[in-house]
Amino acid sequence: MRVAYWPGCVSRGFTPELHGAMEKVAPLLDIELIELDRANCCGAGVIAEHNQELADTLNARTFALAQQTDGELMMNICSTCQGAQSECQERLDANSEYREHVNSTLSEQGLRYEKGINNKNFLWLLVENLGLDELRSRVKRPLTDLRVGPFYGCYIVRPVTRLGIDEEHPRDRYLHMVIEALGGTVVDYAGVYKCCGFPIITMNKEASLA
Amino acid sequence: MPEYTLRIRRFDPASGEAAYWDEHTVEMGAKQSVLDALLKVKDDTDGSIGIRCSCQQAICGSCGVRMNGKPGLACNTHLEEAAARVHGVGWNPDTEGEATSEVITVEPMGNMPVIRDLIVDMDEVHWKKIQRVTPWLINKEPVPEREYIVPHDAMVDVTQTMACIQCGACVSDCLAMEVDPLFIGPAGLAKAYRFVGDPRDADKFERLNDLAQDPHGIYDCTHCFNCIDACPKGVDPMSQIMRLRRIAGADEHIEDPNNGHRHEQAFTTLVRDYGLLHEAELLPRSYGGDSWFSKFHPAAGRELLSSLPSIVAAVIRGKVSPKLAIFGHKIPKDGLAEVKQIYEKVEGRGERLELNLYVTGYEDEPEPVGAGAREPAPEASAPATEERATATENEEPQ
Repeated sequence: MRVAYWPGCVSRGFTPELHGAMEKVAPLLDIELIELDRANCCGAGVIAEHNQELADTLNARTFALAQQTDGELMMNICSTCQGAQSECQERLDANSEYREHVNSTLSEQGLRYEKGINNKNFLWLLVENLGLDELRSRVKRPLTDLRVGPFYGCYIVRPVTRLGIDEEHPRDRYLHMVIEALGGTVVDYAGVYKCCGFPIITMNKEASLA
Repeated sequence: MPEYTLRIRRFDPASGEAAYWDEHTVEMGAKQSVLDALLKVKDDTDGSIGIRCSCQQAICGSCGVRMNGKPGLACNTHLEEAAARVHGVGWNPDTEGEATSEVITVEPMGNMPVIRDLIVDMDEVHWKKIQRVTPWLINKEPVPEREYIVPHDAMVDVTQTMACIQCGACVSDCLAMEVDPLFIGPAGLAKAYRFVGDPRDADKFERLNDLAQDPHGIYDCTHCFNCIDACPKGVDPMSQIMRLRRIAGADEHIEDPNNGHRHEQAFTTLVRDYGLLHEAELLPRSYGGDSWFSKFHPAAGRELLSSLPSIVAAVIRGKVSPKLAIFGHKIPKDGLAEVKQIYEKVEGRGERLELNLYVTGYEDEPEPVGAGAREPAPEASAPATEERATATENEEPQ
């Protein structure tokens, strides 16, 4: 499967293990990564709180770049990217007049976003496109006796409607399911769906770290 | 008819006893509400269960509770819907893709003290937060002899916050308030927008300035989206908080001691200049101002110094190179030129353009992310759209 791959900023910055691991894992899962190396930061919700249209246009640019590739879909490896991009996509897809307005800005660069891009986090792709059975069959060293507490992050579990979480797609259980498929034992704890507090680390450090 | 087991959290502070779980099984239709079931148990089995309710039509806002971990109104939550989620954010079946649980845990809302069983003290938390934001109109002078003439669009714009029925569901699960009880919180700040956005109000700037200066004001929200999912009326409190930040920061240029505006400016500028987030620059700029020289600002220096051990550790372990930590990373030149062009065009407009889906609605069925590889859109999204559209039509400006 060929995918338009958006690695994000932090996964190539202070947590390079994310992008590095993805590059190593992809061929083992027959995923061909077409890296969107000219794409830009998703804004992490912060640019949107400065200027919503700016955030929407920047992400429309990334979507348009992904649509120029022959990838089956767009894939990201960052829950913040998933959430911020989904929020912009929701507005762009909901209103054609607005979408045309944003596209008029992109047109100078020969880019155009067509409604309905399929942008998935690697976790979703693992479960929905590769499948848990396939994943299980490729396990070489199972995580036997390893107890793992899943932590999702806000941006990839809420709001449920925007992120397409429903009975058929319990995307807020996928990490649980993947841990089990890899042979590990899931530890359910009160913090699974809590917030890491990072967005207010510079505004209210005490609350952020609490 | 299906069987549901209600697992109710019982607690009477006056009794001196600890809280306990009380289980009752009812046979009821899947489309009947959790409140129907609670009232049936109360009528048939145990009249002592404490629950506050009135209209049973999702408009009085009395019956806010947590059902299988998610806050909402007991009267507009179907039994099957509550049963399908198990202590999580969405559907959360405990087996892959299959909802098997018919146990519904009903608890009082969070972040507020329990008076008895499912009844929480709204005065102690929720109403205090509402009072905090001066929830009334400050008339612009001179007061016209007859009515104020207000643009139609401006009133439509505030209808979303006027749709709030004060049920407290958003307050219940606010994760920032969980760690900072002084946070004004989603309901109060949504109410604040109702007046900031009202063209008749005289105190727009003072309101914004007050909420920006307060360490527990608009910049204390941690973007967790819980309030958006909790709200039974589509108020999207978090989106209102972000609108307040946009008006306070980008429009009114209000500087605050919480680094809120500086952080937003620094982030926006760094992405313009690098195309990507330059993480090491973001911290000093958020504290010391939006320039490369921010590092020499005393507030930024202190922060940098306190994060130095982790930065050094990251470099020593080879996690980041010193070059990356200092100079950051950039997208290729041609891409960066395109990003800059977008900034110039959008920021160059005199006015900020904002799309509120509550007002405009969706042109057709909202297509959730990843719709391409999925079966027909989930049922849940259709009524949500309708409800939003109806709400906009029906809510008359008061």
